[in-house]
Amino acid sequence: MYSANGEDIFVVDGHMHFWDAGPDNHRNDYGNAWIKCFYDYHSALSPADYVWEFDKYCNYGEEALISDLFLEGYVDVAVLNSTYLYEFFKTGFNTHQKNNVVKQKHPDRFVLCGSFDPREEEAGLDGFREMMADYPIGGLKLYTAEWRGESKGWKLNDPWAYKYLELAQEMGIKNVHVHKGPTIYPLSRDAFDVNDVDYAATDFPGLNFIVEHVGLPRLDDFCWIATQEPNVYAGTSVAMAFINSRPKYFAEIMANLLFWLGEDRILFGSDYAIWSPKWIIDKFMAFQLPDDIREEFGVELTPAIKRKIMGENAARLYGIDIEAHQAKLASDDIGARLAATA
Amino acid sequence: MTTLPDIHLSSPMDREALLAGLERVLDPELDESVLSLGFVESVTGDTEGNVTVCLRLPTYWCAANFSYLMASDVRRELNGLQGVQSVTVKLAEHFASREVEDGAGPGKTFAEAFPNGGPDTLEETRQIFLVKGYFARQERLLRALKDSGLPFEQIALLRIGDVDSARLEARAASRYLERRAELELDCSESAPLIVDATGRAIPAEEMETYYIRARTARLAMEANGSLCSAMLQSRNANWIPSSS
Repeated sequence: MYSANGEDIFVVDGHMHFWDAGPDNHRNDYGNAWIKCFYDYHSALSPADYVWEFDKYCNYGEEALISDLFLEGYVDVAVLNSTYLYEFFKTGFNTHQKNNVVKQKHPDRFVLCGSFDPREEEAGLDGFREMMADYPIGGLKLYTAEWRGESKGWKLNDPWAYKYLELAQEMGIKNVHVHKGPTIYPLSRDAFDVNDVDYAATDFPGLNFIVEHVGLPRLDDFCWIATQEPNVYAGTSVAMAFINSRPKYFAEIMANLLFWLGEDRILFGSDYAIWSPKWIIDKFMAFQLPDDIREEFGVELTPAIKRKIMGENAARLYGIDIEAHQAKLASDDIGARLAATA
Repeated sequence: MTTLPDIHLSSPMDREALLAGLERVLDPELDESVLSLGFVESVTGDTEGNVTVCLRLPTYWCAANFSYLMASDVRRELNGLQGVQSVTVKLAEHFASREVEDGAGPGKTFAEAFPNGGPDTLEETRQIFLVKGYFARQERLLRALKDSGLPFEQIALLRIGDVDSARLEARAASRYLERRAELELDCSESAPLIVDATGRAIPAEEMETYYIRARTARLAMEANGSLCSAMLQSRNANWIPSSS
């Protein structure tokens, strides 16, 4: 909960991680190179006071997670990504099985994302059903650039991806987060090409596709697609982190999203632990679009619009009744810790 | 921001010509020179005229296809310069260093270098980003014209010959026209100034919409470039170079 001027703002962090990337878990040098690259993102865009030591960054543990998100970072509900990367990490980077341990301790605080890999084809369908049956899966996170053997990526409109999307929809999934943005690049032509989202969004109008990192570096292509597909949403992690050191680009990105998608289809995400929600939210809530940008784009970033971006839009997608949910959160263990320090 | 590469030349090679060659090599995704982006770590030339260029990109994971294009372009730009006998391109700490070095140096196609990697050549990718860069450059010109007080309807009437080389927009115009020529579009004095990537003149009533789209394309490239430069700085600060 972020409070300012007597007003409480419900915060959903639409995109965060709880990873184990310590040396013991590295399968090979790729594991090491992966987390070092994440660390470069962390130190490149975080304010100096929020830059961690590398060792902590590799494996920050549960107490840091709870503190950074909920006790210090204003977050009410966090969408817990699952990213497997078994080719790089022995027990996975942040699997739904591992994520579920923390979800079980704080059930109302997390939306647990599951996943699928269409390259498992028929053999993977049963595994997907089991995951859906055995875990409280609230949404999916798909990582089209993940390496698997010789394959260095897949597309949402691959025939097997469609079979999995059909099954997911049958089993009650509504929200599909798709990683389209920087970080790891596959060999294939351009796995951050966002065009596959266009096909899937058209063919699955009952699913919402939240494009994480707004397709950066393909922001333009993302905007054209999102303009045409009403079930495509902007996940703003990475873009949000620009607010500290690149406020002009942040303003322009935000103005573009407001212009092309409108205020109802933009979701906050910190990408924790790449960046901590506290400083992003502090800066975002204080942020004003510069006059020249407001005038040129004809858009506003009012307090009401900020509320939507910070939590109301995600709450709508996930069917969270904000008032009822706040009451539940006030009485869980984190709620008690927050009340004790208030 | 720009860090010049370490340059060690021990033969009568023309340092300025080498730098000018590297300046012409663009990161296709960012439409900026690898030299001004700080991607060139070192240039070494021995007495026989063998040149080695070491590139360091912002991340270990930078896309293989773009890395390959940059490495190939370094080779293409430097080969044939006076005193240059051979060009070797090194890619520091990158997941595909070996494939890029073994492929782009000897001039293999992308498919030969990456048998599981995708398309035969990268010409289609290159073309897509030449066009994106065209829109970005065009947007800067449109913005300069707009800021000088010209309404969109009048901008639509301009011919290439109307660009006043003494005015503020001259640099934006020359960058734009350079790319327009690369796309093999009509660049004669009497040709309309603002045409799309197929050469169609943009009518007055479409000009504002056209500008708005070009603005998003320009922002995507610039914001990405800004992220890359922040990443390269962090990478250089955080990474201890490996002893090998």
